[in-house]
Amino acid sequence: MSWFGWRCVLGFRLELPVRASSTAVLAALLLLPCCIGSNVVATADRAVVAKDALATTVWTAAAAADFHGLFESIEVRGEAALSLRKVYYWFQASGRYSGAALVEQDDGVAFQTLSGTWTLAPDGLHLDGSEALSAEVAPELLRIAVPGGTLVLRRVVFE
Amino acid sequence: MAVSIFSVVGVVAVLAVGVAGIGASLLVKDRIRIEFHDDAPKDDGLAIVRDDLRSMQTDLQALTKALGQQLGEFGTAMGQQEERSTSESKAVLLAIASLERALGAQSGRLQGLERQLASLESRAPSEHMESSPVPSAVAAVTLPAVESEPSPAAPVPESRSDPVVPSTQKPKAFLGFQLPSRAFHFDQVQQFEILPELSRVGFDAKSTLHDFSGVTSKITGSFAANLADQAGAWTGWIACEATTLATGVEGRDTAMREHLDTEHHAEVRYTIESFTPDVGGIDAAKETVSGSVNGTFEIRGQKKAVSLRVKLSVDSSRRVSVEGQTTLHLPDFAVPVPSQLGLISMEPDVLVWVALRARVSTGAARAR
Repeated sequence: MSWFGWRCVLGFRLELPVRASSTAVLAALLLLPCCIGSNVVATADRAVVAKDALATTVWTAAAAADFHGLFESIEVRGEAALSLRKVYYWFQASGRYSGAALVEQDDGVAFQTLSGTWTLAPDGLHLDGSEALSAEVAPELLRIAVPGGTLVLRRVVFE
Repeated sequence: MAVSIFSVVGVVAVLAVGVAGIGASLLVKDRIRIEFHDDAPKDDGLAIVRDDLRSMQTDLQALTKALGQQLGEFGTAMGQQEERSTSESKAVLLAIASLERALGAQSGRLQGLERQLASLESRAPSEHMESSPVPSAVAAVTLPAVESEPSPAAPVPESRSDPVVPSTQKPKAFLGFQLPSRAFHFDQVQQFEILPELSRVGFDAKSTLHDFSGVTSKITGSFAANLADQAGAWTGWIACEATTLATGVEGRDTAMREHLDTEHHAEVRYTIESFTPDVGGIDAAKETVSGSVNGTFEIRGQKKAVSLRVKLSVDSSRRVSVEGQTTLHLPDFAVPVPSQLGLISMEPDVLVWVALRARVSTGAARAR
């Protein structure tokens, strides 16, 4: 029981303003910790990158129209990720494409560029007449899987 | 009469002289030396001296000539001996150098064999765990350690096991791009570089009013580790800029920097000295590791040995994810525990955590 409470029990006569202010102070002290919320980072939020952020993404088979435009990589999976830092692809509706990859080698990081033709067949994506590659899409996303790695691209604005 | 007497005396005298002569000759016959001298005139002393001088000159010339010849032969002999000694010394030095090279080659070969042996032995437990019906935890305990566990006080020399540098011999094509041929080796020593953009470290503190965290992504560091190594011969370091720790309240950040004395101790550093895996904490199939990293924290210039509980995994981009935490007692590092008028105070123990991403290092990464 608080000092104020004991005073009441003992029958001391208190002025109303004093009693009100004491109550307010006590209430404030008691409630203060409740009002100031915790600012602790949750264990799940410690990592910069959420674990497998694309795990819940629903992928569907790509259509030709899904390729038109500029894409940048947001994730490289597999052994290719050991040296592939960034990839850009520009797919034209005419069937031409151009790509640039930032590759990390032992002597430094450098861009590689290439251009060619692309087609989308029922069995997958063909780049320059290559074997079919698995190509899937999600809203604003494009996923191309090849032996040695998987590339997840995001559509970006062509400025 | 007198004449007779004189005659007799004369005869006697003659006889006496004759007898005396004969006696004397008999007495001194052995002492008589008869010398014959020619009539040629004798040389004078100067001529003798001159002749002696000539003789001495001749002798001296002969001696000089003989001495010079002898000295020449002696010098030649000495020179030859010196040449032989020099050549022998050179030969010995060459032999020593050759032996040293051979010893170095043998030493290198021995180290290579030791590494191969260590690699094979470290591979053995994971293979055993995969193939044996014995629970992995039991297997991990019963299998012998690959390498002797280093003393926590003594840093493990990094040269003991050279990190695997990804090979770039055969470029491989990926969507038409030529990439270096690299692979992630869970069971080999690799050098990892912390990726600051994908990493965070921080602390959780408790105070009278409410709890709060301090966080930063200004992190650097690298470590060498064979993730499948039961002996846990890990080495490396992780550091963060103490000035960039942020709690979300500017005044509190200012006080925190004062308490950490960031002006004189700009970084908080953790030196990795070894790793102790949990029982069954190494799963080569899933490429996960759990255990305790043993090392030394350095805060505000004060060092203290601290173990950090960690979990490691390899993500789909072949990066190592490190999540760990430990509790630090601030007074151990001479960090004043904040207190406001004795009413609002912070607890002296804080929970320090790390959430790191590291990638296998390349030459380019090391150059950055």
